Amino acid sequence: MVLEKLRLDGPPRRVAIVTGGGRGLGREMALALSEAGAEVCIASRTQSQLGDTASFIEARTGRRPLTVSMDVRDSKQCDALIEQTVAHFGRLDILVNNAGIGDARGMGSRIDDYTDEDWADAIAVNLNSAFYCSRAAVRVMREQGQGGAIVNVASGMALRMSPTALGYSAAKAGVMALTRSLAAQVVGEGIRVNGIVPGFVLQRPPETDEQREQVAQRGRFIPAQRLGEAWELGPLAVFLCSEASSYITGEHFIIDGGGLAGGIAPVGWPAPGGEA
Amino acid sequence: MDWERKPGFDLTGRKALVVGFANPAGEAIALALAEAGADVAAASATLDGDEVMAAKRAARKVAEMGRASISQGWDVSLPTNVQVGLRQIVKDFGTPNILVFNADAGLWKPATKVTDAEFATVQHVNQSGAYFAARSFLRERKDTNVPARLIFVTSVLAERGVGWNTVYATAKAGIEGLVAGLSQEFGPQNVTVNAIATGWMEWTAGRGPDEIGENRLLRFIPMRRFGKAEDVAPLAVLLASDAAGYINGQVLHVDGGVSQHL
Repeated sequence: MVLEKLRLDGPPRRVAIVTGGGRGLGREMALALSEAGAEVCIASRTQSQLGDTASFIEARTGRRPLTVSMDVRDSKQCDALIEQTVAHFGRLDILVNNAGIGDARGMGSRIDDYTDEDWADAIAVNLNSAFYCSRAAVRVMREQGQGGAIVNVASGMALRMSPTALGYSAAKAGVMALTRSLAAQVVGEGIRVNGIVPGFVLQRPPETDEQREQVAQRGRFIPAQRLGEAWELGPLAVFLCSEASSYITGEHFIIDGGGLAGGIAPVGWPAPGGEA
Repeated sequence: MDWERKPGFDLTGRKALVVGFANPAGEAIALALAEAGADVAAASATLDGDEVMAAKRAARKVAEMGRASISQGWDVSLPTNVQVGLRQIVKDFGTPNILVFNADAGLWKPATKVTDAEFATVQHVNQSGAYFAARSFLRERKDTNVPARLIFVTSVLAERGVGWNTVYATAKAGIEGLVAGLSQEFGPQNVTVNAIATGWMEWTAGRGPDEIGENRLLRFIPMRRFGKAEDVAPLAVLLASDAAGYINGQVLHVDGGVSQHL
């Protein structure tokens, strides 16, 4: 039956790591995986967010996530993250490479002003992290011999030209290529590798009237007439990490309200009545 | 302040219409939607006796699960048939909020040998039928507060060339334009439009023998097996659910990785 395939409570109960799991999309994917029955480790640079998120998830699912404060730019710390998780829960089945940041000098920095360090950092946080964590995770999954699922979070910025994020978009395009090539490499071991490609998705709910108005304004540029909300990645992550997607690998799931399916005319074209 | 999260795989209270039972994905999807809580109407895509019976069988199994169901024999190449049939379903079953279009008329033949009649059938069932079903479904939709979901089952053959499959590919490729266009036109009305592109399935024409040692094609699929109906159904449930409201205009591959490798 279909609904059973979406459960992660086993036996054996699946163990998942979500990088960048302290807030935003990562927090929601970690919550959804925990709700589906998985043991979850959340990793982030920011210790305070980890504690809050762990308590939040524990309150909803009764299982406290392991929290690991670390820097995904460092391969040794990525190795240690995998080791700690396996030491704590006894196995590893799922890795969600979600850690990432926009360009260091803010979206919109021009190539003229872009330093070597800016570029290296964009690649390190967004791309190297996915490689380091995947490498360490595949070693464990291969040894377990029971397959596994890796989900890489990319970005719509990787797919279209945009003046606003040079390093970020290049790194995310790299993540998408990594997804496909790694999928081909580990398919024989039953490890599936897929990507989620978010468009404009809110990391947290707007709190003030001003923020709500801003969000509504930005939503008008999306066919769905709204921005995405972080929680909407949760069920998708569960689907991609569960048996429900057992014939899907190397694939990217774009979740963007329809933006990338259009994009050759302004949203809402033609206006009612057929005129511009 | 927290999100108002919606369940990913719960279709309680929703009404689905599944069209097309010539391949096993139709029944698998119908039962999966029912398992997730939806009532399901079933319509064949052609008046082929086996397909009409398959639609009836699926509806009976849905009823056995305790959900409302109804079945009809359709010829989706006739727009009037689709319109009148759907109107009857609306009266007897209720207005569907989920449409799954799974019509599938395969053709495995050298391009120069295809007859006019074969070409027309493949175009009409796969492509024209998809549009007629979508149009009637959207015309019947009244309550825009309830999300509507259009899900077309298509094929990787729409995107990638294979000899002897040109005519089928031509028809299935039309689904991609349909998805792209409708996703933009109806996105603002609480509607999502997506497609599931299946790979080489256990029923795909021209797939060759099932024994892997004897089949070069099978060895070419990264997962080294043909797809099954139950591989397709869970994604239909996800796309139909309230949690998939931001997935729009996509063609998602369920193909064992075949469309993504070199």
